[in-house]
Amino acid sequence: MKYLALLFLLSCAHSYHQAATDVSLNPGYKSGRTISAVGEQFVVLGFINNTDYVQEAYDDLAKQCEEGTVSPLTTRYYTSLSFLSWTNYIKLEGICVQ
Amino acid sequence: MKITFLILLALQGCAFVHRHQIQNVDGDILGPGARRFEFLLSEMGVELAEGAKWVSVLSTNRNTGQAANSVAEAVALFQMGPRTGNPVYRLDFTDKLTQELSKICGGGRVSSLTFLRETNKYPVVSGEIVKVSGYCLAGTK
Repeated sequence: MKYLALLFLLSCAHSYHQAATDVSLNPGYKSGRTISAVGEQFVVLGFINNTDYVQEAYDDLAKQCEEGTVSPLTTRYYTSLSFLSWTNYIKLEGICVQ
Repeated sequence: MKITFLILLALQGCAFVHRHQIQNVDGDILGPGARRFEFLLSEMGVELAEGAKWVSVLSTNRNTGQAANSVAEAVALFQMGPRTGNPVYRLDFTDKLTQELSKICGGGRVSSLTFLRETNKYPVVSGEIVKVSGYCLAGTK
């Protein structure tokens, strides 16, 4: 049982690197809807799989608000730590105001 | 002797700034209509390898010390990757960031928005913190 607990602690760890927001709030934000997009990059022993993950997340977010403005736009960057590998995530979240 | 050492260990703590970001600064923040805001989002970080090393150092039993060293090595293999501060086990502590920011000035202008990513480090555990501050300005210029 204690080994299972240890394995759980080892396998679910994340490192939180950064949070940032672009705020150019306008009074219409109350009528907006929350949208989000996630990009991920899997890395094994330093060998990188996908180098376009930030652009992919950006494109995905832009598609969800083609006719409007996204504000505030929050960016979160974190890494999930694993056995001899890790996954970098970029999560974009914003409020789409039409 | 060991108790004194443990007390000294518990009392030590350091703060580390990892990243700092500041956005546009409006001259109106010095005016009477400006209101400063600040809030913290935080989560407990745990460095298991450090804990295992302390067990190894403080243990009088040689087998326990060796087992703790093995745990530290396993942690290094299972928690590989770039790090900022100590690892956390929950990521949702910043989930409300967007909503909080959209509410903070009631739809008005925000200026000097500052993000600080910092760690308050103690033995084995730490506080992984995102600190947000800025000014709400009157009007929607």
